[in-house]
Amino acid sequence: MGTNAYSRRRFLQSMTLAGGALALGACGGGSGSGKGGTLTYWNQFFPTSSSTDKSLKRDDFWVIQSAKRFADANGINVVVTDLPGDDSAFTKFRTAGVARNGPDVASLWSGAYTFGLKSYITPLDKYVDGAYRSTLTGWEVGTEGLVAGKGTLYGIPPANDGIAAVYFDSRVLDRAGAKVSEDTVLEWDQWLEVLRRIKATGVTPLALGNGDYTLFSLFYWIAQVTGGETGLRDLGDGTRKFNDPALQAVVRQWLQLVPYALPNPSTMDDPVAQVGAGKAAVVVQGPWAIAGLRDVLGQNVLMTRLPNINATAPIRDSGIGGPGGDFVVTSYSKHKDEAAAFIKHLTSKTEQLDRIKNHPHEDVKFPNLTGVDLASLFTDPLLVRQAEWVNQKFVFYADNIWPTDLVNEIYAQAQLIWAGKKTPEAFLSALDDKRDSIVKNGSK
Amino acid sequence: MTETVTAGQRVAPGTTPVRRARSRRRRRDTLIGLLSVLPALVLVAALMWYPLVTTVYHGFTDWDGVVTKWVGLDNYRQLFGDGDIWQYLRTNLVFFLSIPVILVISLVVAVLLHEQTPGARFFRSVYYLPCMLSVAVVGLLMRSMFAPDGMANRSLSAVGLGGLATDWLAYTVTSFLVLILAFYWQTLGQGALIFLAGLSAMPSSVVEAAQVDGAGWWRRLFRIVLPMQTPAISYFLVTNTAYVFVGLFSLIFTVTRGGPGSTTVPLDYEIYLSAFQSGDLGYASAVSVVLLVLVSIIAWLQVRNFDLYSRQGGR
Repeated sequence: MGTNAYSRRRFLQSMTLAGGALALGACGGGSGSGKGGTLTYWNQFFPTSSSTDKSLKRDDFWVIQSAKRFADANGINVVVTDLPGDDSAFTKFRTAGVARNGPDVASLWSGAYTFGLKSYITPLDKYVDGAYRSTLTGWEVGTEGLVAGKGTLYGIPPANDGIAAVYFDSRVLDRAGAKVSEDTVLEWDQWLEVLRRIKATGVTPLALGNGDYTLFSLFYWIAQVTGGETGLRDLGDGTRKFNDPALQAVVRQWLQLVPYALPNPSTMDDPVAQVGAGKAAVVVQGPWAIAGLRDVLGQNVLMTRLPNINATAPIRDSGIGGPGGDFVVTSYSKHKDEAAAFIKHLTSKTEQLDRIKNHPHEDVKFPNLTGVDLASLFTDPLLVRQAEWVNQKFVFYADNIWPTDLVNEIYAQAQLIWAGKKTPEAFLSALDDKRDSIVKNGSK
Repeated sequence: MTETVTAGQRVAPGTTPVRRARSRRRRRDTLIGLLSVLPALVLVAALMWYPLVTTVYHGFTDWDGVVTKWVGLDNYRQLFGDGDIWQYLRTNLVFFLSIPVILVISLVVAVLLHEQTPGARFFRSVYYLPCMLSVAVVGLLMRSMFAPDGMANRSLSAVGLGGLATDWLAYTVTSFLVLILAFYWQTLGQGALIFLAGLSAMPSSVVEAAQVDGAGWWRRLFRIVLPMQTPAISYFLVTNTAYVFVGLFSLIFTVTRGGPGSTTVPLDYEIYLSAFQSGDLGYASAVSVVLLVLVSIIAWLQVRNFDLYSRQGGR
């Protein structure tokens, strides 16, 4: 046997060392030193990559930096994992909940979406004191019953989305000779006239995605005639019928948009790209679309509130939006105290302001801090205006108020009526049937 | 090792040392046999029987993954009471009715390949490619091809048939056309392979004898070749029938997501929707049990078919 022979003892020693190194490496995968264990956060709201600027690394994004700051300050490892931005995130969260192998903290869509998952979520009331409550707005969206302080708290809002609005390519408006002012809200006939003029220039006016033609527009117009959130709640619990003359009229008006829109909104992935490609001139979206619109249209963007459905609606000149998401702590987390502390860290004034001031490349989410002049945080006139709207009264997302199954049914039925396969009466009647079935089977 | 019986030792009637040894060996063989299959039994029990039994149980409960409440037949009443199951089964049925067409196409392709028609060598190397793509890839390709500004509409416009361009996934009929096209595209390779194997296994002497007797190409095809492919045809039919009941999820999920409306939702996709979108795992379990019963019937038909053919000597 030569001197270089590898004895069994040496081999075992090497393997032990290698295994130890691997184990240490695995522990060090997240942010921080990890002395106090590992906290897992499933992130759905805050970007960790950019589709337009590939030079940005994951560490350049606010949520990663913020998690690292928390980890360093508390001696705990924080692992940030991205959840899909659509409703498949709920599938992942739900299956993880059944298997009890999900995260400690997750960001979910607020309201009914969160309450539908409450079997897997820890009530947060005992982690939240009056002092902390007074620093944030929007507590109602994570409180069962949607009234702040009057139900169990399941989620803490991380930000405010702003409200849905109409964005025009102002060059097309000029070519069409259509007069639209940022300061006034279009009445329905004026809105149709603008669309007609744009279409006459040879450009399809509207590029609408799946949410755009329903939750950001139709749902708002339904809320306008039913009296806002109270009316939406009545529709959701069966106190009020969908299929009534007022809502039939709303749906008929909504269908007047079909000839002015690119086909099949339910499968359109990127309406802003359609505007950028010159295939359309108008989108209906929240303020998160502003960055993309600036990329493709530069300064040629004109933003207005959603048009009014009619002159007699109890809600007028408003909008739909709000804190569409919340942070939750899972019921099976072994680090509930640390998880709650992490949420407080992410929602703190320092962190929220850092997100706005030092991360302008990220899609905007307005801080939900009390006592902060939001408009002063922005320089883009569109964001300044949106920040002003956030401080005014608007309707909370209908899809966060209604049962999730009802919302899914509306999405499904909307495809049929938009394609001319259903009448408004049949559409609304199908929604009543679904809602009644949910109410009936909900108490099974 | 041998055993001896000494004087005074009692021997049970009918028990000899050789027999005892044989019995011990048999017991040992049985034990070894049982220990050998034990891992497989444990795995089958843990991965198949346990989920199956709990699914049947949860079909009678209101279960959200954490809390379970016994509700008796409520889930089944809901499933059959609101009539949705017939709509889901309609989707399965549309696929089922489309199977004979792909069977004929696969047979034609296999015969052309077997007969070495011009281009057969090239086609032989590519026909199986779609089978190697995952359904998700095929689905996403279909979705982008049949988008309003996708390749299908652009191609129609390019050849002067712009009037036929449509919003394919916005209408039930055209959505089914797209889905069935994807199904055919994926199945053609598998079908052609099955029939090509059947044709290759066919004794050439039979065909040659028919040729000598003056049978033309068509007559040989319909009177000799196709009848001899009956087992392959049967296999193709039963496997694809099972597929259209339990295997459509990925195709539907990637192409139409059950739309427009819920007109292209099959039974297995409904299980996903109710379990993971609505969180009604009890109801989803009930739908799963109904699907299990359906597929069991299909499997029984499959076994019965094969038994029948084997009793008839494979004819």
